Amino acid sequence: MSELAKKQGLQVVVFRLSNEEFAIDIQQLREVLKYVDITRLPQTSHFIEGVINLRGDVIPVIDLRKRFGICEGTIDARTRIIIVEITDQLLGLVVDQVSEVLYFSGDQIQDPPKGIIGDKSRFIRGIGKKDNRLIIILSPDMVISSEEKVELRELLPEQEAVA
Amino acid sequence: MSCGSCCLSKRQWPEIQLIGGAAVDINEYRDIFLAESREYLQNLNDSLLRLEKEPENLELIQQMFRSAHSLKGMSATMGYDCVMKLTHEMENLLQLLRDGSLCLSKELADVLFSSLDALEAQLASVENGEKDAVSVLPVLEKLSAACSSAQAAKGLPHFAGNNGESRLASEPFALEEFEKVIIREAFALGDNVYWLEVNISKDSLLKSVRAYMVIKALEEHGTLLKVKPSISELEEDKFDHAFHVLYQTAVSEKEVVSKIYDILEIERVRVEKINESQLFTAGAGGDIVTGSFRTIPQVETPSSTRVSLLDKTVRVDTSKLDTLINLVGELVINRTRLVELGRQSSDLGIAEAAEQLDRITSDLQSAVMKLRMVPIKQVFDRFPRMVRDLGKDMGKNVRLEIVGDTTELDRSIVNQIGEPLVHLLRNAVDHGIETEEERKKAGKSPEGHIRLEARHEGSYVAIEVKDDGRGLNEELIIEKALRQKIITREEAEKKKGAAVYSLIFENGFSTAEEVTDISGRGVGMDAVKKIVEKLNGLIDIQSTPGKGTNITIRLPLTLAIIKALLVTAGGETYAIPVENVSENLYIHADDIHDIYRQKVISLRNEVIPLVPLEKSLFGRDNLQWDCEVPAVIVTAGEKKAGLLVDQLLGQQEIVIKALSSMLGKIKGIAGATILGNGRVALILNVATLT
Repeated sequence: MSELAKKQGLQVVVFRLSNEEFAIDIQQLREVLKYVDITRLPQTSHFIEGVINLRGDVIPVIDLRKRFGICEGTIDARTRIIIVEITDQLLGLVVDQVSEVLYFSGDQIQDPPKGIIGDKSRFIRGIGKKDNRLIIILSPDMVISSEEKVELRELLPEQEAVA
Repeated sequence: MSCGSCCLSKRQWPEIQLIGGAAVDINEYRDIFLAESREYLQNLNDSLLRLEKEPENLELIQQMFRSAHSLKGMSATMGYDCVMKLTHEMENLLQLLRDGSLCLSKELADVLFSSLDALEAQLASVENGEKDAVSVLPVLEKLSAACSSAQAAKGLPHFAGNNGESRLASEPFALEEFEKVIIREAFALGDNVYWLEVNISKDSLLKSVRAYMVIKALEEHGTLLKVKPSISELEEDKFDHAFHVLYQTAVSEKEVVSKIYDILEIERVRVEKINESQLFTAGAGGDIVTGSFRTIPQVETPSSTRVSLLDKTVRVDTSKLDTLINLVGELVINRTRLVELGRQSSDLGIAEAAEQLDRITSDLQSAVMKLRMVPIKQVFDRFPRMVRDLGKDMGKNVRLEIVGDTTELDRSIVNQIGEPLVHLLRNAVDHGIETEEERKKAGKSPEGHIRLEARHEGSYVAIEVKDDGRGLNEELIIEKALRQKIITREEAEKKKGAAVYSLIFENGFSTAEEVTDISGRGVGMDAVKKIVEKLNGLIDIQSTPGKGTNITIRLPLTLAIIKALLVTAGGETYAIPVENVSENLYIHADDIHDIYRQKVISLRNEVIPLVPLEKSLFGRDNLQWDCEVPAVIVTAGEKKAGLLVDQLLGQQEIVIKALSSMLGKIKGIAGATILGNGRVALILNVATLT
């Protein structure tokens, strides 16, 4: 977590993948769409779902559930595509549900626990703690730039760390 | 002489005021400066080329003078000294040409051309943010040498460039002819014209600022016809506490003086009222003409030319244009949806409104698409000069004829086609056109002729470079191709005519016997062909020995929209560019053969491999082979294949959208487009599809 975020806190958008709560920095979020049909792309990573039309722009979409090795979720009325901006480019992320916008003050954000998840910490900006909830704040840049396989459980701090 | 003086106009002043308020970021104006300067430079080049042919044409000299003058004013405002000095010296030379003390010789034209090149280099360095990085001294010296030799011939003292201006302050003023015309116009308006001498206190530390304030104050109540030393010199502090202003105003002498004395540190102001008779008699020390007064046709202040240049066009950031085009593209897509809904609706009103919207949107789309189109003149304009220089360097007499330079092409194509054309023209001058002696021997006119033509041909624009030179030598090409191991001897024997000529497009081919400075520097015709192919264009070559060579490039009108055949496979829609489609057909299961586990069909005695599209892209084979299968026979270069699809949907114009660079290159996919229903369809890249 950057020093600045620690000082000023961080406003995030919280979403669900399976039963876990994740978040991304609201500064990186452009909009949240209802699930739309995705055009499949051949010969790309397994987690790249395809491309969608966002008001005339063709943008790639990643299924975060597949990215983190959670079994393919079903698509229902709550499924959303969140559009994030990464180095001037737009990217869609399929998530199970978008729940709320939260504010974490500096002292509510912890660095990713290095010892536990090793180099996978690159995917995480920090861990937000609030009212007994534990929310992983993702770094979307890493989510797409790496081909590396990541399992969700690797991202989760062990239960004792929570307690 | 009028060396350091400057005929001012109202339009130039507001810019100087911008500088006066030092807070204004000059870079903001740099792009405008560059764009306008390039226009003036082009103008100078064009006029000079014409002037070379008709040296007596005063109007051309006048035009050049105006362009140089405007450039000078702008560069002084922006603080680009080198540009200013160059244009200033050019002005001096042009002045001599204009008043007839000099005649445009070939050498003089070269000096002027080289100064235009220096200007170009200066503008380039301004663009790259290296202010005055390139030295202009050699060119400046050439220019002033040309001036002074003319002066010497005329028995006049050589005026001393930019230095030693201070002596002018104590001299009586001398007027140039066009200034006199302006003064006479002022009288006609009933205005007064004053000759002011302003002395700034010797103790002043800010004399250039005081001078600036005086000029600004004067500007509020009238027009400054002439300032000595020039404004740029005043700004740079290059004056000796006193300066002169020729001032046109409606207010009285007394008021003018009091206005000036309002400014601090003004020591003394002397005013002399000018009356009409003085104009003709008070010609002390200068080049005042008595007797017949040669009126220069159409005396315009430089600013008025500038206004007219800007009036016709609006400069818009290209990214704004692209946004507009994208938005309209989206509107078109939504229109299609709405029109579909309108058709399904039982409400007649809605259907009617949708239809009307349909029409308007179509018109809007074609209007917006035209915004992308620019005349190819932008590229052609620099060629006359280039061909002239090339011809001169090689001792050849070449005339370039340009036809159809108003033909419009997509902006991005125009931006890229310049380089190949330069190459073709260089080749034509270097290898095509013979020397004068050779041409005379062959019974041709001594002057070589190159014709550069652009014209519409259906949905293509053809650009043709045609010379009347010696033509291509088939034997030489084959010999060379053999030596470079581009073809084998067996292949060579089979080739004839155009097939031989097209060898020059092969990688590493160059026919120049000896490598000249101009062509044959490694990048050859193969580079030309590559660029043309990148633009989805075609290149064609014809040649008759002894008669000349003719190279035609055909380019699509636009890159953004292509015609495509839409097909479906595995539930997705795909677009295949029609250039790649040779035919559509339904293949019956009985006609399919297996050769080495590859399914093929025999079509008119040609064996064509079959590729199920879905399998090729996703590795899934869901085709049912027991019925008729729709197929698209696609070609890419020499390769041919039959793509098996689920459904043929028909042809449509599609807008090409690039795929995000995050995805990298995807084999078999060239890009994407958005369909009428809002969904994304992938555009197939047939060449990389397997």
